[in-house]
Amino acid sequence: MSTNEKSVIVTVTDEAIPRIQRVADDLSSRGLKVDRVMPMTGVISGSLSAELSDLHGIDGVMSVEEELSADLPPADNDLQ
Amino acid sequence: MPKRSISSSPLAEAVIPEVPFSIEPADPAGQLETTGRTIIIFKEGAADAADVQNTLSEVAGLRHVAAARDYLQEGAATGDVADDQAVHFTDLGIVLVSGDEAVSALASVASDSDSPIQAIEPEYVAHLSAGAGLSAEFLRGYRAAVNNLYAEHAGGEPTEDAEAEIAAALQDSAQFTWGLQATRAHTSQFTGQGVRVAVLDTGLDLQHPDFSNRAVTTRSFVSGITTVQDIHGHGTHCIGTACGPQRPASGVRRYGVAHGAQIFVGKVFNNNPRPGAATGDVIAGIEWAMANGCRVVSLSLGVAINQQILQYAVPLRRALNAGTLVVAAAGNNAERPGNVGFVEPPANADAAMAVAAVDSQLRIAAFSARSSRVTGAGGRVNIAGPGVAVFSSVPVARGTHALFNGTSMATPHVAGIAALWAQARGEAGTALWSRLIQTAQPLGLLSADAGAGLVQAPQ
Repeated sequence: MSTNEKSVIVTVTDEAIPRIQRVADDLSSRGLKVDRVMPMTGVISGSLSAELSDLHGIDGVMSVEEELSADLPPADNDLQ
Repeated sequence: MPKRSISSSPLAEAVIPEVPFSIEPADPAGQLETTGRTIIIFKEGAADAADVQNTLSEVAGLRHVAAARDYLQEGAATGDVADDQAVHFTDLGIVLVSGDEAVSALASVASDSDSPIQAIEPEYVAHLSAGAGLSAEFLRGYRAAVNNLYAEHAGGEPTEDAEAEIAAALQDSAQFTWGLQATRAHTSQFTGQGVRVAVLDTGLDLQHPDFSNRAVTTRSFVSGITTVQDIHGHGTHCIGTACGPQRPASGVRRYGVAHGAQIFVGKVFNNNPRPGAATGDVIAGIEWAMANGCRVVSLSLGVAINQQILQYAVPLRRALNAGTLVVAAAGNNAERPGNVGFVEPPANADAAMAVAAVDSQLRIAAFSARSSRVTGAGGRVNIAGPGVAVFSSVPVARGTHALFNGTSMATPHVAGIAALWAQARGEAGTALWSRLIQTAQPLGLLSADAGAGLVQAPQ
């Protein structure tokens, strides 16, 4: 991934879930490199060089957030 | 406590029953107060107003039966019920009766197989809560805990009482871990058979002897990693707790809850020394679990921020609505007593069941996160599970079995027990959630720390 590229998680609205692929296409045309389209959870993941705000206003999009990561301690920690 | 006298009447003498419904409450300490009147509880389906009036009239000679709403509208208090009267709470199917003769008449027919009466109880007097609700057991435990704190900080020895409490604490036996005992999973007749449980974590040691003849379904969601083989150990430990075998081939004590459940191993953590799990990979794992009909997903992972994040909250709501209960670790970010921490995402999603950790003395673990004050209802700890000195499987390369601590360990206890309940009652989604909460064992701990209490397995 290039330096200013970020991973994003887009949630779609309940009513847009049946046409989630269309939402993904719209996001793609705004610059999102779509990675996964998940129709049961209503989530689209991908990467974006542009600003998150560039994806606002797309029909069917509920939220756009930078993707976060959960971390574990090293294996030899006894607090897991 | 006023003693009831059952005055003699032709009806009462003619049929001297062993009354199956206690009129004298079991009250060895003499602490319960009654009014001297009696409440007759009618069975569901037999509580029709006309039938009740009939029973009262025919059996007990009560012909002046007032409907409660009329009675109360007239401004009377139920303290005014005369001996030949009764007050019928029509919507509740219960009747308040004053006269002893009427009560004994009703008691004499109550045990008939076609009797419309479910129970007969004295009318108790409730009091305001100062001091009430604190059982002797809770107070003993509280005293022991305070004694211990005093001993630790004042440099003294624990008192005899405290030592006795410690001796009575649970411990791993030759047969079962303390956690299986505390949750009564070890005596459950249920195994999780027919229920699919997904554990989204670092994977599973596919060469582990305890899983050598267990069919597992596996998938990696991490880019560039094609096997769920567990390098780290966290996933193997959690899967062991949730679904480990009834009789481990390695010969150790039983450590797994749902030994008959179908295991779905989703690898969502990479193999870095400090493994990371991207949200998108976790959501993909949840999507996979849903698509495969998993009724339970165990997430022993969290992001250490005190905010709700939509990337978890929204998909988890959909999972729960679709019948997939997601159980998540509350977080290990506390350092009690000073820092009580906060429930992390994804556990802080409304639709995720957030699990705290207790130790074998059923105290909240020092690292176990408390309900957050800033993330609304989702940030609440919902339930607690065994999370200190938890014995379970780890990769062979890491010693095959080990003791771990963490809300990560409490979480798969709840996930496994959810599978037992799902098998026992056939429930899923919010119904399964309610079942777990309703059956949890209250611990006398703050609900902000332990939610509804310690998860319990169906028997």
